[in-house]
Amino acid sequence: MNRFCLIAICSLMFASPASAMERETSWFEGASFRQATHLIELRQGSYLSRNAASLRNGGYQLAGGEEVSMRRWYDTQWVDVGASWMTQLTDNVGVIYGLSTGEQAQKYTIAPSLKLGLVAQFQPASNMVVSFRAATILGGALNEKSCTADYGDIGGVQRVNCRLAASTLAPQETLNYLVRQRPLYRNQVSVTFNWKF
Amino acid sequence: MKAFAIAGLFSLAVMPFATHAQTAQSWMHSDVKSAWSQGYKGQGTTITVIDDYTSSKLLTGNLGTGTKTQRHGDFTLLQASMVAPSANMRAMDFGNAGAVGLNNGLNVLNASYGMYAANGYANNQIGWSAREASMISYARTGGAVVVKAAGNDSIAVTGVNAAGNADYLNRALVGAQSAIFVGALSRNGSNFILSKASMASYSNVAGSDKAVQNNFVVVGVDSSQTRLQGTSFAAPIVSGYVAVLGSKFTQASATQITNQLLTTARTDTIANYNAATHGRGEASLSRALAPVSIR
Repeated sequence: MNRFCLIAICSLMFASPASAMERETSWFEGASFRQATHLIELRQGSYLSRNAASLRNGGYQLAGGEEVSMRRWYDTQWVDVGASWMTQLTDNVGVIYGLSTGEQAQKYTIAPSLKLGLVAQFQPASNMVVSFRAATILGGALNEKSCTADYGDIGGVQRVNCRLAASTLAPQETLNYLVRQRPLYRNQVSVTFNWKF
Repeated sequence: MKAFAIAGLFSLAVMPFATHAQTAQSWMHSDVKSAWSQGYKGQGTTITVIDDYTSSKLLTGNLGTGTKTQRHGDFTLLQASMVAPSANMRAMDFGNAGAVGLNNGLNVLNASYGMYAANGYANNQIGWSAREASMISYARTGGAVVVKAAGNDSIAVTGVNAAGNADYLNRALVGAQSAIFVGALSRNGSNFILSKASMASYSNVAGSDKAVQNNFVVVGVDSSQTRLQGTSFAAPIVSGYVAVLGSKFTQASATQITNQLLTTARTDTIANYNAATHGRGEASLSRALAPVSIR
């Protein structure tokens, strides 16, 4: 369900003829690109950003007692920023597109992403509007990187999950817990029905 | 002429004490509770607890599973299994004098007893049973980790007690590559100044022999929680630690596991740490599990 979300709800999008898709702002009908384009999303942070932030909690001591804080590997200077726009092509059809910057720290990356989509509406009756919206996100995955741990004589040098290197898990086993996540709701389809009565 | 050492158990007085049974018990070091959150608890290893499971001598205590009156071995076996619940547990009764068999994977032999005879014999004058002879051999060759309770005479591990007896099993294990002597702190230590732990008054100490000091660690035996006192109940904790380590480092030898536990022992959790008393320091499961460095 997180990869494909179908939503049928009454919403304000396209609810009124006075919405963003007015005749005079249709790009194909004479409006400038700028006039026909609307910012529909501007955000900093995301579901994956929050997940990545949770990785920086805690720490452990090395065999000799030195403290290792996860912050040194999972703190980021820049939190993922994303923006999306809709450009109205005709009275009833528009395209959605967007970008996100991604974010990175020493031990994880959230890749930049591209959002592409289509929005359309039709009026089965004068007091009804049905709108359809589909969008997909390309890229934007969260990938955690591994560490190299030296266990000395007992275990040698091994690639490990940085967060679990001091756990009871066998070093190679910790790699199974590296975070690999795609954006939440990577593919979305919604149908909105608005009826004025 | 061979002398015969008599097995002596290392428990002291016990009193009833009630707690609720829990997965992680209050007598356990926080290290153990933390380790358990990761799920690995000693699987692939075998702990053999050589002890008394048949005599009429009973103790009363509570390891968090309810007050029980049972034999010494029932407690030590239970205690080791609680620290490393996924380890394969084997009980070997004192009535069985045969050689200790080993399973595949890391083997830990828990000896919460001593072999006493009058002082004055050389180790090779002792008529060891096949059981102790095999344990000593495993410890010397690195065939298994032998965890030996230090004893409760408030003397050095290799010393002579007030009755003029010495623990010849202790003496035979001195310098063995995979032997660990375990003394008792009165409780689990912490590096907070006011929480540093002290040696339990009854516990044997490492003494001046460097070879003993190098293979000697201490752990907390909190009798206020369990009403069980004695280094008998220190050794099973270390046996459990060894098993947990063995389940992480599956390719490591008994000697490597032994050295890891010894070299990562903490001295900053002990009040007035002294190698002649505390050996390497307080065994630390969390540090033993951790890498030396990481990048």
